[in-house]
Amino acid sequence: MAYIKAMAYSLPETRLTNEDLYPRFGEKAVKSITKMAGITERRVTAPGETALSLATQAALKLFEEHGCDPKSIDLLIFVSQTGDYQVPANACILHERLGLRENCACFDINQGCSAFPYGLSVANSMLETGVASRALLINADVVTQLLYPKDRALVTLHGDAAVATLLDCSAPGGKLCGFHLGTDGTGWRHIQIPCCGADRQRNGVAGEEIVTEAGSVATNKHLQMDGPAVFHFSLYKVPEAIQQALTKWHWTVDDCALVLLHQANKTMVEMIYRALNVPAEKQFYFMEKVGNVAGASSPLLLSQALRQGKIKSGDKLLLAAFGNGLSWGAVAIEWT
Amino acid sequence: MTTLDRLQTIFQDVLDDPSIQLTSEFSPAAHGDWDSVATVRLVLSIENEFNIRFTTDQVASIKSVKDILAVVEPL
Repeated sequence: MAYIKAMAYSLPETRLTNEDLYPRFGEKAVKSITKMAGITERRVTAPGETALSLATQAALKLFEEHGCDPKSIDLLIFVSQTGDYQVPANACILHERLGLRENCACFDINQGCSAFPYGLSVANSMLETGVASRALLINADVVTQLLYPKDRALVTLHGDAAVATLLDCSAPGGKLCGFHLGTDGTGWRHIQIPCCGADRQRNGVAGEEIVTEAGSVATNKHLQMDGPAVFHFSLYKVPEAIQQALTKWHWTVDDCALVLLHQANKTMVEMIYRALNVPAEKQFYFMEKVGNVAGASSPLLLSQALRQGKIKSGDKLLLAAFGNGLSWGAVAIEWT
Repeated sequence: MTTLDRLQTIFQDVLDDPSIQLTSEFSPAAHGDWDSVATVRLVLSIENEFNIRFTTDQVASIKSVKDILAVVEPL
């Protein structure tokens, strides 16, 4: 099994507060959504900042804080849905920026909010089988760049972030003990950018405004989410998937020191905790000042728990993430 | 008590508005507080009241009370 050895993250400097959004959406609407979401401000990219620029900062920070030689890395996985380039793989660009060696496998994974368990699973497999000996996993998303500025449902929720995770097969660290990954492809339409690829291209009528029944405004060139449908899916599917994972791993919630969940919005996370009977001392939140940062959310949460000293040797952690696809993943971690 | 009456009680409670007179045509456009957050709360309350479970697609298709009745009334 592989171990998480170190983590570091990067957030944009720009802060977008609830008060900043009042003129755009009205105070009442902002308060209604943000009360549900438990978010008071978001960190959003400024012009010129991208997923790769945040990823570079996070990786360099990790190298510096943990004394890691970039030349020791022989696997770089960049997991994002908001990469700077469609061609080539963004991991190759990051390879140059970080000065990694030639004998280093680099590739991208396109995954949404469930990105971290998927990335960890792939890194773990490649490390365990000896394909690589030291892996750098990057989860970076700048979802705010996909949003239509008038879309109050999504603008109020999202922020941007990148997290770098270093892994190898040596203790101590966060031992990856098990994975549980799943998909309900019948729900892919509920979070999508309708016109962004070969099927429907990003031009022509795709830019016209669409006003939803609930009064939100979107276009077919921007990210769209059916909030109630996704909320409903998450409330039922995520607890069910976590129970399946616990059964598979022969773990219970009682065994876990922390249950870490994708920071979609606070009400949703609270309701999932309630469904799983997770006591308050095993819960952890980190979204109030950063927003929902999509695929970077669950690694940011873990990284923050480590920074705050919430995790000690011997602790078992359950981390679960879920999002577009519809996709979900859970990982069992034991800190040694 | 009709299905519409039971739904009306739920809508009045969730939207915190006792004056709501529900019809099958009632939609978010008819009430400023029926936003996406309210839709989630309505669905959860309706599931509890009628002991049913909406599918994700059924939740996505809710544009008015008529769409809710289509799920609830076959019972």
